[in-house]
Amino acid sequence: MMRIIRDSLLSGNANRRSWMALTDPSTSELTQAAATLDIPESFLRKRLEGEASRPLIKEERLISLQFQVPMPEAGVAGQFTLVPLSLYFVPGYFVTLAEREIPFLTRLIDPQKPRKRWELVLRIIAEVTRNYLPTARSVTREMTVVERDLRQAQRHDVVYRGLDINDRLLALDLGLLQLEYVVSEIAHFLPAGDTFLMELHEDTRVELSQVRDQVDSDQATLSELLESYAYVVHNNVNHLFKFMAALIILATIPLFIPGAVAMNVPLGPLPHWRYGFAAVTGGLVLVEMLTAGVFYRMGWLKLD
Amino acid sequence: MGCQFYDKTAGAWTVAEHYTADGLFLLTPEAVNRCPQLEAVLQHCSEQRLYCQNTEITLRLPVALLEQDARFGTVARMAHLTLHHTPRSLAILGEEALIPTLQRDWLGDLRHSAMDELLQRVLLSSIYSHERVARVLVERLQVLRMALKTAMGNVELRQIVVLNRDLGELVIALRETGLILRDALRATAGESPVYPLLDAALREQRRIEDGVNLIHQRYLAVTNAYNGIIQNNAHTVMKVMTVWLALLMMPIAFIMPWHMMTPLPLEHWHYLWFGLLAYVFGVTWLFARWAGKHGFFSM
Repeated sequence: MMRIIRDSLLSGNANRRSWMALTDPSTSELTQAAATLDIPESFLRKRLEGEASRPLIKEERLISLQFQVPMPEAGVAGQFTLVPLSLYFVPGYFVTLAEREIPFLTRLIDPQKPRKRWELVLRIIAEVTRNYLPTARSVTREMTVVERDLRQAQRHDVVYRGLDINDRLLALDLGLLQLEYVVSEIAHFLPAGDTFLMELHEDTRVELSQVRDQVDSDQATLSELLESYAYVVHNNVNHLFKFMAALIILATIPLFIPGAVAMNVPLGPLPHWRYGFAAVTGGLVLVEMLTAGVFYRMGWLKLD
Repeated sequence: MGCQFYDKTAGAWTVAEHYTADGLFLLTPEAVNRCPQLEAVLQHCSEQRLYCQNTEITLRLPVALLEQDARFGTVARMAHLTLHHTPRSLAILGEEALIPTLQRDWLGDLRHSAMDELLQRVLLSSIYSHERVARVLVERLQVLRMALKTAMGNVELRQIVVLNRDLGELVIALRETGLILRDALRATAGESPVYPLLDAALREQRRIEDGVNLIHQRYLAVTNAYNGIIQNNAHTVMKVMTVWLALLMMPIAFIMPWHMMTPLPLEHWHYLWFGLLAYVFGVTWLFARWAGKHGFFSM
């Protein structure tokens, strides 16, 4: 879809520019946009597909910025897609290009109150940064569920869920790294005397750095913990081994107590003693109970 | 393949006898012997990775490629690309396997490109090659990780170790690229048209190095969890075998008192044998149900 909204922002020399919003553009729309903006179509396509490219290009007739916007998946907590968002400034136009609708853009780009070029860029970056924070938090929150399941887990599914969370945090970290790079590079282009922009830039940089530190720290903690998770799962399985080994020992006792009275040799008065069965079986039950009691007190017959 | 020249008027690559210091050339190492102008420069560059003389600059940069290994599947391989740039020409020297990628992907749509722009394009593409390979390695790592779910041996783990090492190699190669570009920037005059290109390439190198390094560190940090997964597979099998052993022991244990050579309860009952079998297997069945509920049999 291609939309053009007139006089939506102010250029460097306070002239008004139109906003061309390209959202999941068709091939013909992309061709038309490339011709209008005098930018090679392959350039736009590469950025739309998120291929490796320079996130900030400043040339005489073109400023190009690119970063990833985390978009939560509807109805699935902790799941998100990183949507590449490109911004272009060319004579007469400000262009946004993304394969999905970015909701906050319409709020930030208001033709009634057009903003200056770098102010708008910094505000968009600040908004993108703010999107990273709840996304990272919802991903990290999944750890609580994993840790709850860990208590009973006998299989490595919990470790896999941990690995999946680790991957998602890494994707967020890489997105933030790219954003951090763009913010640091923008500093070179801001008008030197504009204190408002400088402050806005510093605020954005600090906010971004805080979010990245948080994601970094969550991820570092998780990476370290994953090994412990694997050990907890081992330990759960080892508990079962211990329990079953104790059961096998208990099941082995009848092999030698009644077995001693089952030998094909003269057994004295036992074969004719009326209470022989009751005496030996009673002794067996007593030995079993004593052994089970000792095992229980040592924790070998407990599953938790 | 030898030496190829890009004919701007025809818009196609043509075979050339030798390098002529005017235009864009692609050469394989064998073709360099036929280009005396290049041979000495490349000799310098292969020893020092960077050689600058007046407006000429020659760089030897690492490029990341993918290849199939019989034992470990898809792995990364480092090749080298030598770039000899003058204001009027750009000669790119690389192994034969690299040439089609250069022509198709890195140097597509050349009609209006100046030599400086082409140099930048090749520099950036060589830097991005590491990121592209890193992405493929990560995808493969994720596939291998899933294969670990049922693995008992070390095959997958060994492949993961190789992939982790390859990711480390990519970081090292990117650092090498950074060093070369930094040296090249120092050796280039600030007013030279090549200076901003090298500067932009160096910034990109730093960004990509940070990204690939982050991926490498994060994937390396979780490798121990993979060991845990494999051990858990082995433990699970042992767990199930042990529960079966316990189950088999139960009928023996419960029937043993009736082996004794003493007067036995119900010994004159006609159906004692059936009764005893029902009793021991009933008890065993109850235990099996309880064990099943507690996940003793789950694989």
